[in-house]
Amino acid sequence: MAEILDYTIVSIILLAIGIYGLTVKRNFIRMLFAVEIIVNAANLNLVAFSRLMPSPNATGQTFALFSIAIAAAEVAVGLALMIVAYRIYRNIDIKGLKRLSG
Amino acid sequence: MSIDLSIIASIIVLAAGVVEESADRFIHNPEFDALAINIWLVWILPMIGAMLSPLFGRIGSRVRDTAPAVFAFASAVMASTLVPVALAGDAVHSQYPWIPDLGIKAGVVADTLSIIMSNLVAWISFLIMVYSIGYMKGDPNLVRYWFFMNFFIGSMQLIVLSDNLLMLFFGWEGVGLASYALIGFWYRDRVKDYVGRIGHHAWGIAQYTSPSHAGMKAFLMTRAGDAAMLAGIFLIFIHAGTFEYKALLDDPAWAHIMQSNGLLVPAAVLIFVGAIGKSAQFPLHEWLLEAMTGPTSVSALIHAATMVKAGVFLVARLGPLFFAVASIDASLFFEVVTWVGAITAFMLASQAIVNKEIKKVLAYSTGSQIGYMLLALGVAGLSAEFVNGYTAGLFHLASHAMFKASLFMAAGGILHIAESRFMDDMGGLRNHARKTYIFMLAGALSLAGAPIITSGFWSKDAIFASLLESHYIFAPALFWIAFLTAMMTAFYTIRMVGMVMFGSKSKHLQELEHHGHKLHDVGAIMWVPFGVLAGLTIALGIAGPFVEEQLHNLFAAFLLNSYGIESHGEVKLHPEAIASSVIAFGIGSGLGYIFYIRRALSPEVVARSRVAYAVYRFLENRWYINSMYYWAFVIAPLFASRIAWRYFEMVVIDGINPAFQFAMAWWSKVVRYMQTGVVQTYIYAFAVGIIFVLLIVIAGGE
Amino acid sequence: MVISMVDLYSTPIILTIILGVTGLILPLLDAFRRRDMSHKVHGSIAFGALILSIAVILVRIASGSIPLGIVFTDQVIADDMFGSFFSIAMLIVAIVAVVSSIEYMRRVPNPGPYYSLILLSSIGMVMLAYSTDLLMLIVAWELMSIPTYVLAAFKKKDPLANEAAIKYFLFGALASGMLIYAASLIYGITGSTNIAAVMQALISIDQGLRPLAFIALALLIAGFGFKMALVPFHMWIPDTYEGAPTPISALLSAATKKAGFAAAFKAVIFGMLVFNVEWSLMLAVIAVLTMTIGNLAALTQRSMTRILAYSSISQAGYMLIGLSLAPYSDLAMQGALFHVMNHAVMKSSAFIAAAGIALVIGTMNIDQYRGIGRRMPLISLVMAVSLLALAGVPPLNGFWSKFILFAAAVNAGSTVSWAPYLAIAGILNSALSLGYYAWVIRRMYFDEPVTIPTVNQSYVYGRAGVLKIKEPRLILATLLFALAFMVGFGVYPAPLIAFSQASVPSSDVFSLLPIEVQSNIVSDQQRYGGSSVEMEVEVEDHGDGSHGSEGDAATITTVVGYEPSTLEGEDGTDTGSTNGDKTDGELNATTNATSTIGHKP
Repeated sequence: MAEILDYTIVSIILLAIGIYGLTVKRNFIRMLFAVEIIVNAANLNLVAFSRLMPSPNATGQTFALFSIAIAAAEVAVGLALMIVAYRIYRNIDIKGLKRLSG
Repeated sequence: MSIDLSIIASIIVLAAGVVEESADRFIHNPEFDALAINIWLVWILPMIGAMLSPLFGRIGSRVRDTAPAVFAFASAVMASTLVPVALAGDAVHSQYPWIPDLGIKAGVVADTLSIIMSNLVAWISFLIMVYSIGYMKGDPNLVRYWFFMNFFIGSMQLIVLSDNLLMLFFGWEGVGLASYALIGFWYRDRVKDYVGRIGHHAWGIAQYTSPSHAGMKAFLMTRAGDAAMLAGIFLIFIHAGTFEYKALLDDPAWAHIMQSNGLLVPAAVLIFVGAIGKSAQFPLHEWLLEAMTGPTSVSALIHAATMVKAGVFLVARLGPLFFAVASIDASLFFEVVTWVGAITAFMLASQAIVNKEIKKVLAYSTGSQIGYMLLALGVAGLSAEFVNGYTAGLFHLASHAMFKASLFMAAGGILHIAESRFMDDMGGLRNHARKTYIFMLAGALSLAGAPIITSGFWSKDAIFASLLESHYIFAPALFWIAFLTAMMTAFYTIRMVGMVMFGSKSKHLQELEHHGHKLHDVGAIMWVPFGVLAGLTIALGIAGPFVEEQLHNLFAAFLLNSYGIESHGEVKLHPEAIASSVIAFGIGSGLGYIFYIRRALSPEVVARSRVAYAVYRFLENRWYINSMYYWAFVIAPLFASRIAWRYFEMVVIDGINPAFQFAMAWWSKVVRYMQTGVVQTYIYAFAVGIIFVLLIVIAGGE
Repeated sequence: MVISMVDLYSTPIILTIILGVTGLILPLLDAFRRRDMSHKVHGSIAFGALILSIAVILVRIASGSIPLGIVFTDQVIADDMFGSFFSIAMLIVAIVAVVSSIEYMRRVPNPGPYYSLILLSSIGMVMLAYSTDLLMLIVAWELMSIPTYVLAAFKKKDPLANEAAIKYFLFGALASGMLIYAASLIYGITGSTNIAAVMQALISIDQGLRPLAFIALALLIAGFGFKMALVPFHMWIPDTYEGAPTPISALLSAATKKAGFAAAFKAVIFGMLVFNVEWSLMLAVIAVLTMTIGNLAALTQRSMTRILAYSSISQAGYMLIGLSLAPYSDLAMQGALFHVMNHAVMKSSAFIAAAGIALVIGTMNIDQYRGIGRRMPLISLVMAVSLLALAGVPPLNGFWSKFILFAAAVNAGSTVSWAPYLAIAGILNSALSLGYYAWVIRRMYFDEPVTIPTVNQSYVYGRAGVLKIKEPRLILATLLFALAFMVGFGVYPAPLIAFSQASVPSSDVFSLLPIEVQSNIVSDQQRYGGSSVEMEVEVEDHGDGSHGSEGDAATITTVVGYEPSTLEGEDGTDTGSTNGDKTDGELNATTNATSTIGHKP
């Protein structure tokens, strides 16, 4: 049980880092990192639970595989958006995106 | 063009299908009653007329202008066929299932109350439609006008004839929509369509309005009333499981449950708030005055004869219900009704005595007279004999509808003649517009309550009588308020007649004549309708006591059959009441006569005293209520809304979470913006939201 | 845990095949040509696929083979009425988006991927509605969302669209992360991702694991709430709806929002019904906040799509009223579903009407809407009707769904003290919303037309001085359908109400657990202030001692309440009384449901 707790704590820390990154960082790529970190926190959870639960089963690891694939797709789309944005603004600073407000 | 034709063709085919299907259903319904169709037709015919208005518009201008009146006529004829039912004290009921899953049925009922009311509405509407043909001649937007007029008549009849609260509410919304559209009819806001003196401000708020603004104001104010009414209807529906009047009456268990929850009176009062809104009573009375921006025919129809009476009708429908079902417990409701009526009657009459626009005086008068009706209906619930106040209120409703519609139409004619809405710009017209003068005088005398020969006298007398006979503890106070109001009513009415018809011609009129505009009376198509109504009001006056007795018996039978309320005693002439009526008329009209007809004294004399002048300003500025409303309900929320979208994210979100002060301080260094649009803010709020949700979840789980 | 083969003939699979094949083929159509085929071709094909899908669902429903309500099995998807309801709503919106895009986006290159992405996103929506497993839910959620990120940015050259898409993406990625994290926590607590198993396991959960469950719940609400436009997760919506191409905004506001709602219903409500946390009060608070903030902020907006965005936010609040009262009132949930369907049509038609107007006058600024009522009568009519329907004006469909929601809220007042306040807040907000809707309508009809220099010349014809505007045809077609829907169901809402009732006949979840559970579940004596939940499954005896094969009838009796009661065991003996000393019991419902084991073809 203690082992699970370790992993859970690590994943919560990762989650916090991810949220912090999204909230604070202005560089779009850093924000993508932060998103990845959050997803990986979840993946860590999944794999840890899958192995160390009182009645372990493989569902967690399957789920983690799916989750990795999904995160990859998401980040790919994000990067594509970023490239298009770069062509328009010539930088990837989120700060500049404030034409739509109110 | 071909597309229009095909659209028309498909609509006709569709309509034919619908008609055939409904006819089929009608005939095979086991409860088929020949008269039942007529009841449905009374409100459906004008709706059809409204739908077809664009079509008529394309055919030609003559068809376009006469067809709507034809539909109104047909509807009125249908309503008349129901009169024998009323005279026999019977009732016809017709229902169809509508939404079976919720147990809601669509139905109409023709009993004494609805038949009298619907005939009143139908025939006055028809006369006004005829009048409109002449009054609105030359206006470029007539298709829209006829559409909304017919739609209005249909909705109003729906209110009157429906047998359940839900359909009544639909009709309620419909008349509200039509009223909004017609008040703002001249939406281009030309200066001459305004109401009020341009430049007149009170407490920084403009006291003059444009048509579009007035339309919006009417809509929003009545909407506020409608929201309350809906809440009240819901409350009843939740406890009773039905909307239908008959079902509500037959099984009063819901009332007892609600009474034990303490919800009965609140629900009733909430519904009454809807009536307050529609009937322009205090505190929702402001819209009626500014509704005068619409064409005068609209004012005559909607704001004198029909829509504003809808609130009174609602009280007349539901009052006996509450009385029969809850009696003593509901007395608070009746007290609210009667006091609202009394206060409004007094307040608006006081403002009418100083106003300078002819239509506004009539508008104030309408609101004030409706106050009388509610006064009577309310006191009915507080007396031993329900039927007295009830008859008095409804008699006054009918009588007022007639003479007020007539007065409005006459005023419309005068507006045409004098080309101004200010009474200062008129004067001495009785020589130039004899017919208008005579009919207007008749209507005015009725409004003022001239003894014996006018219906207004008898109906007001009935109200006084019911006040005097009631044993309600505050009845004497109500009586004195009514008495003073009657005096003021007589005063301002005679004042109006005097300023318009007597005296010498104003400068404005002299200028008009100088420019070649000859002052002449209106055409027959305009004076016949209001002449008919003026004649009716005198005829009813002469037959006064007889009519009153007939109505009394009819309503006694109605209350007994439909609500189980018993009546004892008979109608007798009440000497005190008659005396009070005569005295009130005498003093009020006497003063009016002195000031405005004989011009023996000039009103300015009174205005020289400082106190009198302050009172004058107070009355002229509508007791400052209008300004108060604007500050509270318009300026403040707009301000709040601006704050909401601009500062909510910055101020409220930041303020909510003390635990994040550190992060916020750091973050605010990075992001120094005064406006949102920055993703950081959003994501931050997201995270805060999670914490917020988490906290509540944890707090709830303990 | 064994995942058995999925029935290939069930509705979701068929829909996936139809939409998926079409979606994959569409970009290929242009693969070997020098010039892309027009939007019309691609759009028509996509339209055909969507219509076919709706037809499949309708045929299935008509044939009566779809079980009512929500079915939870040990499969990952289940063909049920709830899923069909949401699928129809979302597919209708997809159709509206596709058809109007044909006209609105006709100058935008790459039509193939555009329609293909819409179709693929629809697959995600459909799967979401039918899913019964958390993993499936998440995958479908992503499948739905990721194409929409691209779609929002489809107009590459438009900086506003790009900004909108980036904001949407960042928010969406965060929300997805939250969801996956929450799913992982739930998996950790209960050992399974199947919703039925999760519910079962949550009944008897360890005391020490409760905080984790709370965190999971909060994250779920955050993740779903982002799509559902709940406050305070709503802040991306105004910017995104304003910047993205309008048909995509319609798709986002009317379709993906509903998907969020469906997912939330499945995952959160049922999970938490078991949990018995006073979370419904929290949802109610969020509902009121959402309604109010949405309406307040809309009052001073100048851009039509922004007004509609804030309006979407407040409409989500109304739906949430139904969700928050779900444990106490079936009618509330049915009303919420009804409102879901209505809102899908109303909001998408409002967006498309705005798109149509923008096509002609080139702007979304309502100051430029003056007098449009005369120049573009049909589009303005539908816009006006949509706005009135959104405000809840009878006799349009919006009135009925709001009526039912508020009635249910007041009705639930007998069990829950704060419920009537929800109704009051709802009514007040409806009245408030009419303020800005009527403002737009007024602008359109009652103001003087402004000379619009930037009128798109392709829509104008006639002589100079007597210019008339030809309204965009395809957009008009979709709007007329929406008009017929709103008015028709406004006058006669019975079919839709029946449909909603079939989709959620009862909020009592335990009748929905899978049949394979052949046990009496007697609730734990140490339940923390919660309701006792007992479930008994009786399977018809074959007479030879065996039961539990396909075709057998099973009776599931569930008792949820505080009162002590006795249950009969399988062999007819008393299993003793249950716990429940608390006398302030709120829920006390008994349901008996009979269902048949196994799938029906």
